[in-house]
Amino acid sequence: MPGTTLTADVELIEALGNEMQVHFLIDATRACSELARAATETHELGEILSLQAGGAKAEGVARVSPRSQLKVGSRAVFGVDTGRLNFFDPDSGSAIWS
Amino acid sequence: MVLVGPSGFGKTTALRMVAGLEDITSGTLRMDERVVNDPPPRDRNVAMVFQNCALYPHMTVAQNIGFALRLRKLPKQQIKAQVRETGQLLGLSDYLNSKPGQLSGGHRQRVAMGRAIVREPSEFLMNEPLSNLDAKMRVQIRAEISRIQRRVGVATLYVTHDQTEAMTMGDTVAVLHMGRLQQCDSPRSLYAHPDNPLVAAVSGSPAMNLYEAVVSPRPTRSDRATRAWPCRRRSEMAGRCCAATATARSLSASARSTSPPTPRRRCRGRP
Repeated sequence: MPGTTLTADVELIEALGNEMQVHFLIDATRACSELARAATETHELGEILSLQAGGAKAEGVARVSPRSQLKVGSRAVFGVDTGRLNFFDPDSGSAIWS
Repeated sequence: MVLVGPSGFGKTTALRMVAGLEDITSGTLRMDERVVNDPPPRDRNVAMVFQNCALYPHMTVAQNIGFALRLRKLPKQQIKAQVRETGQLLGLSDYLNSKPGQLSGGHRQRVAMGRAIVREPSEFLMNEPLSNLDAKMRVQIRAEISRIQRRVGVATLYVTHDQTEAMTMGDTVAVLHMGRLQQCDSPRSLYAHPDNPLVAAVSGSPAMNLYEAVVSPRPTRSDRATRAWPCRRRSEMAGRCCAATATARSLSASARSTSPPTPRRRCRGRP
């Protein structure tokens, strides 16, 4: 379905055997409200991720099938299950339900 | 019940308040409807398991497990029987005469569990009991603690900073941040419906991808599906981009290129 995909540059692939964790960059701004920042910092990758905050490209991580043929440096298209997106108010950090 | 959150944000303090090791300045602590703000630790009938096990190094495993019973001056035969039974439950039967120093970390943690179980407390309090174990042992003991807890059937308050432990071990998970309760829910709900990005960060690995996005109406569809696209700077919105955790199983990836995303849809609570 058009419009439900993300085009991203593959930066790093961690092959875990049962899955691959693909670190990618997309044209976006990582949310950097106070709460979001605190949230990323609680994560192990927080420091690395926060370096990306505010930049023209934003980092993200995807879990993909270990049989995927993705290569580092290639351009990937991720399908997005939009029904399972979560929304947060940037000021309060509260979830927004539809 | 699992308390989870980064270090220094109040989990251990909460646990120590339940144990009676820390004074409660305001609020009420209830156990079985009884207010227990004031009773000293020994009258609360809770058993603690610590990160470092805190075993008596000069005593055997059996003596360590039976220590609380000896303090209660129970008959020797009864102590022996109870220790043996507990040892069996924990798979320690072959080690009852060893000293803690001769045991592996995993076995030591089991002894610590045994010492708590044998007292038949009304509540277990566990403070990061797996933190000192190596990764493989941690997974194994994690499952074992869950199994034993179910078998013994005693309410357990478990403190951890590890999100995997929280999600796998908790029937209910309470996320703490800066001393504040962020959300208290089943692991499933925390994952699917986090109340804020902090909760999102501790439910699921890798962590949720958060991007700023504008959400605006899309006339052709009026169903519940909402969309957010990472774009424009000024109207910040953070969306759980499925690329991360939530929808990973249905995620497909390929190396082709497509047109850029276009749809916009308004979200009810738009700021």
